[in-house]
Amino acid sequence: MAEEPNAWLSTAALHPDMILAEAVISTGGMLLAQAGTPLTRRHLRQMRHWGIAGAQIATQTAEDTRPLPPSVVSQWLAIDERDPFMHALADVARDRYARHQREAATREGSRT
Amino acid sequence: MTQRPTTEAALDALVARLRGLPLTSPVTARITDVLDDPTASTEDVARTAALDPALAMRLIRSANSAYFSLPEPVTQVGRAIQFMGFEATREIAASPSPLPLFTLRFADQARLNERIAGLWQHAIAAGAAARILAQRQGLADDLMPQAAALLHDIGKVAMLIALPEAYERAIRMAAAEHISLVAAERRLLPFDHAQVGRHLCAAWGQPESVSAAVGRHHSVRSGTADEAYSELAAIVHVADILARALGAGWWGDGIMPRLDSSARHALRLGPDDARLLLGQLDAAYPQAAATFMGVFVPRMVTVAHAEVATVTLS
Repeated sequence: MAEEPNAWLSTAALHPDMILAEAVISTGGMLLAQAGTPLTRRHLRQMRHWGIAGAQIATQTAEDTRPLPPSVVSQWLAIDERDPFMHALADVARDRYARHQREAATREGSRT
Repeated sequence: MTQRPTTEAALDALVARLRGLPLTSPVTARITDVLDDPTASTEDVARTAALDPALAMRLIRSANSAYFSLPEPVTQVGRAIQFMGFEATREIAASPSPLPLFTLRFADQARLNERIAGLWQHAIAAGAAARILAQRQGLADDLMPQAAALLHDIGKVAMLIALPEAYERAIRMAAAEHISLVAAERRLLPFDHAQVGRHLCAAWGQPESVSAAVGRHHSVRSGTADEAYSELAAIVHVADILARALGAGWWGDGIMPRLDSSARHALRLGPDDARLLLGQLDAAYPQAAATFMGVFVPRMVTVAHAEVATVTLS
């Protein structure tokens, strides 16, 4: 097995030119980017659009991998929402995720 | 021709492999310091032991063993220390413990180290969630739910270390086929991480109820119908779900487990509780992470990873 060290990074922590260690696939199963692809701004926009929480990045390009911020929701893609508790939990988690994305966007905006 | 080992034998082999690793809890030295202080009280020792909830559980299990023949089982670590005395406490606190597995880092194994660190964050989140759930159940002083939740995915750490290639295949299969990691494990391996975790916990001195809850966190209903066991297993199952919703760390798949209906009943979870519980966890996690990461500092292992990662399954 080829040992390519990589790390999971939240979408907020990703930067253009980082190399994907694994393909990025949307909840609906759409391939957004192949493994080995250098990320572009367009990829990052698409990932935010599809609510993708993060990606596996080859670590030589991922300098700051630890610790992941605790407010980062969520690696989950599939959730069974027929259960009322889980349905509510998914709603809350989505709210938190959207808030996190807004905060990240604000931070990014204030840098430029 | 070699004979195909039974699942049990394969689990034993896996645990035996890990025995060569440094698994003394960082809390052991702190307990020794407190015990060496002539002015220290049982309370002081108990407070220190509670920094490693799994070590505290080990003390409780030892106190409840036939050797001490207590009139009734103890559930508080302070009582356990009181009954056993300081010398027995000192001895038992020095035995290997499961939580230090999360602190191990291997030279030239960046991905493995990342995964272990991510699992540790997830474990801390689950531990914090279990504390919150236990409080709701009127078990505020009970360390057991937190210990069991901290240990719920210890089997993943064990398999990542001892079966790296097979386990990476399982992780890749889960991602490629959009299935849970536990489902991928069941397809590719003779055991899943819950079974490994249960076996590990039993081998490293955890009380039967903790090992059982670890073994059942993906299937709460199976096993004994004992009510206290079911409550503990339900707490660990839901703590895992809440920790995933929180999103801290890494746990190997993108699938949220289905909420076991018996766990929902046991914990009386309604839709309104989701926001409340996740809010409480959000507030509790940073403190829990700071505390545990301060105590369990990562350590570079001197033994080469290849020497540990040689468990064969066929």
